[in-house]
Amino acid sequence: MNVEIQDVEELVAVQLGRRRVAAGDRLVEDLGARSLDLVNIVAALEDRYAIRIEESELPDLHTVADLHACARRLRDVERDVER
Amino acid sequence: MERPLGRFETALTLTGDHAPFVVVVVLRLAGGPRTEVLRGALDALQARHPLLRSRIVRRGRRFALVAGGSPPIPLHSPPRRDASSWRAAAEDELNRAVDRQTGPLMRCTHLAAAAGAPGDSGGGHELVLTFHHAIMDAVCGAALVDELLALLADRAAGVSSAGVRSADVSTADVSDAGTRGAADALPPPVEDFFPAPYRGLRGGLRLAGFVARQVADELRYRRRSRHLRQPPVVESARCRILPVELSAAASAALVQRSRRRRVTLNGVLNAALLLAVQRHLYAARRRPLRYITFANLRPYLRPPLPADRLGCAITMLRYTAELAPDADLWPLADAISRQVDAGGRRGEPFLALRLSAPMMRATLRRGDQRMAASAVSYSGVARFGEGATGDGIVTVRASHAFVSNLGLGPELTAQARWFRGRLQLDFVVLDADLDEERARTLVDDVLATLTAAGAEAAAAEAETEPDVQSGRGVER
Repeated sequence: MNVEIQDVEELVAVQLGRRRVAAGDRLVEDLGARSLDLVNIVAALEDRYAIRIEESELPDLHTVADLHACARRLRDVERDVER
Repeated sequence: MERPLGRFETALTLTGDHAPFVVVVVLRLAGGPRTEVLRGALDALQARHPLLRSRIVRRGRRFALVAGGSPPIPLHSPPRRDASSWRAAAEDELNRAVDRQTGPLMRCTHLAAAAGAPGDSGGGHELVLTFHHAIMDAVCGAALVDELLALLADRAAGVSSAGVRSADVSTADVSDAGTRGAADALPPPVEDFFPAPYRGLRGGLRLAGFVARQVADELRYRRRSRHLRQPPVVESARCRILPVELSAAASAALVQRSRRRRVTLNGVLNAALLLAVQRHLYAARRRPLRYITFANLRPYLRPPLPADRLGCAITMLRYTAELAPDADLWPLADAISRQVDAGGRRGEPFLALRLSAPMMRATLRRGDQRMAASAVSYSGVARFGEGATGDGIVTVRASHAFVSNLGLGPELTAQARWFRGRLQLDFVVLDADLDEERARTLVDDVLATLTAAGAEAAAAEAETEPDVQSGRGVER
């Protein structure tokens, strides 16, 4: 499964109960995400793309675009392992 | 220049006047700075931050933060007898107030290994940094440590980086200060950056609702805990530290399990501490217990407050949880996660801060009730020391953070963080509450609960990742 930015935007919007979000939106400062929201978003990403995001990566995930880049990188790693 | 203390700053200062109440950060370094290099770095740090040159004085019934006039940051270099000397130093610091009237609101202890010292193969050094809580939280503490390490690296390399640039004061703050120089401008208190719904009349109405909920919770707690054990108020006590960590495998497994259960790590940690307290101090009986949790306000302020701006931008929240005799971790963690989240959505972190000074005044004046059974602050991933190793002279091997407890505080407290792949818990207990053996029992209970909780997830994945199951917590 490819990780598309539109899919990540939609996933974040659903988790935060918003109609839409943009790639450049900051999760906490702009979208008002709280700790439990971030847990739900990260867990939903992991489930959807069969990846595992390390806790130590969380401080780098400021924006929706950061989430997309992280998920895509980890998905590529998983794909290489599967091959 | 001076300004009135903010509300939470006032609450922390009142607490510190009642009993020693400080933040202690311990950096365990490989190699380490020479004393004169450290002295220079501390001077440079103080020159950069107005809050490190400030002091807190009384102005009638209130307090004021006064810029300037503080002596240099005290630097103490006692003998380092062995690799565990830092523990005694940290405990001493936790039990010694910062002289807020004279300033500065920070001091430093440097423990340096003598060549060939017993129990130390790596030429270890420790820095024990002590702060008045009103100028310090976990976020800016990590940034300040990074800044200090960078200054040490620069100075060891012969680069002078002293200056009066202040990370604490923005251009807007300086213009607010009129003709006063940037060097002495003090950063405003966090409530000046509250979002509009929590200021003025709108904020007042929300505050009234919050007060009503607090009063209802208080009455319900008193009714339901009548005839049950009430934790004794301790008149005089010393803080004792118990730093522990989960293994990397157990830490990773716990994170995965909590994500699958859709609960926060903060919720899991609060639940584990409450369960340990209930089992060992409250005879595992059905009852309500109060817990204290903390919220980082920085990203929610307008504008958001950067990590490198010194100041205490957290707030303290107290909630009540109902514990059954055979309470299980995950339902309790789930309830706590949702309770804290619901409070956040109602803006309670802002409202609790507005109420913090009068609440603390009342608590200290009455002096008849402990604030809660437990308290834990999970500050997330700590990365300090990763970007400032310079020429290798200052490499952080391990770190700790502790906050003093007092006789009106919780019976079990911890500062928690994620550091280099491990969940660390720096516990503080009072010797009048728990002797060493009993404190160890409570901490072991917390570790066992957290490890078992993660092991459920690890067991499910054992076939593909056989190494995940290993590892109980260890004392650090």
